[in-house]
Amino acid sequence: MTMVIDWQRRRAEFNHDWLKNRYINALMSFLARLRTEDSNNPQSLHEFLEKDFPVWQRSSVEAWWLVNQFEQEMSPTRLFDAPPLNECSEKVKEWLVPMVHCLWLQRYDVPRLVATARALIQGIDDGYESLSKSLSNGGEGSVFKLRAMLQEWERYADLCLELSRCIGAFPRKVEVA
Amino acid sequence: MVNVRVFDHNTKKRPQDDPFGKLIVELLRIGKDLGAGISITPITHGNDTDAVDDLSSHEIAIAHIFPHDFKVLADKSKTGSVCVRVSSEGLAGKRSYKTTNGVNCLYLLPSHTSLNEGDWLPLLKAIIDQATVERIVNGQVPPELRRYFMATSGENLAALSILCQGYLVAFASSQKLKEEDYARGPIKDALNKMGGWQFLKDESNKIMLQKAADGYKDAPGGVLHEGWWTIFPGSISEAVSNEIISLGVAENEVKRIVALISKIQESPVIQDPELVACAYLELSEQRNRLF
Repeated sequence: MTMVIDWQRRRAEFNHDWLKNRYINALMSFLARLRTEDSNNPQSLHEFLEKDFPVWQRSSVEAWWLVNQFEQEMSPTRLFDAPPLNECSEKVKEWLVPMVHCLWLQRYDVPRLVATARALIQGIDDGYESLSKSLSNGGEGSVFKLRAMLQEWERYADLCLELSRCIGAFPRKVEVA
Repeated sequence: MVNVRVFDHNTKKRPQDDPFGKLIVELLRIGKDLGAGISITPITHGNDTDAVDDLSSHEIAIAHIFPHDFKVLADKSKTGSVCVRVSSEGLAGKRSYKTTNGVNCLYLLPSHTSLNEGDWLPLLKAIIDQATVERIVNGQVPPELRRYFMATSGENLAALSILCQGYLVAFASSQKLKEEDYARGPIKDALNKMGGWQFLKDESNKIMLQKAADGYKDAPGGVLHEGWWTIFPGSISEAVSNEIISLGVAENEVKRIVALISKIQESPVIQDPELVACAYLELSEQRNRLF
């Protein structure tokens, strides 16, 4: 069951420790500063743009791994790799294993969950690229230009929040029912 | 007097979610129930760094904080003190330990938002008892605390539940049952719970359903054959009862489950889907309580 625990651990590290409690918090503080007079002091805004914002690029890889591996790592069919279910005959496994998997997909609406998470990650990837492009075209230079991108930043933050909620809704353990 | 200090870093960030409130209210109430020997005080002000400083000066700290802050807490705390980390996400895969400077670091594995008074009472009693804490950090977790501090998958309970599901799908597909055939009863409830009715309706499962239907027979590999239930080391009731006893299930509950499983065991060739459906529903309820 090591791999299963690995997925659960990596989900907690990505979603709880990083996305929800670090990245989104930093993003929300940035947005709050951007909307208020504090933004006359560009230093704190630039700090976010230089240190926090770019972390998505490498975290995106982890997000894709979690979503792409979920079905394989967390399906109750993993239980057939260890005693006592590995004692079932091959003839039984032929239908029981896919049956257990199909029932699990059905119960937790796994295909919809995974598709939603994929669309959100793709949306964040696209948003990140677009924002990065605008920043490299001079947007980073002034608070005025950053403010002009406010809607785009808000959309980006909404997608991050949605992704965190979506990953939070994935079953937390190997569910047998 | 044992002083327990509690902190949740979400207090200021997301008070609307109020996980801190839930945790503190539970702990304060239970602290009173435990009597005069324990004093529980929450930290309701300051930032995470201030809170870690405050927590580290107490004998027992229960904290919902980040991993790096918990490490700082463990480093700063005094020898013999107890630091408990809780998380709204749960702490799957973490193992409690003792630091080189003798601080006991406990990881509470289930999400703290899933715990209620019935969980916190034994937990607090354990956390304030030095001998129990020693056992936990040494990996000798008392049975009644295993579900909180030891990763366990309950594979025998899960396996029996899966065998029941296989039996019921084989039965339903061999009889070409439809949900409308049942107004109520354990078979309808069981198939509902496991997602079976939808599964039986889905055209894309046709080949698998045919194989399952073929499995409804008294021959090797079939669900009516005694071999269906004999994958466990020893008897089923022994395997399952040992497992649930080790997870701290109360004696009367264990007896009830064993009595139910014994019915399966006593009739190796079970031609009674209702009995299997009842067993499945009972096991499912038990699993929900334990995991």
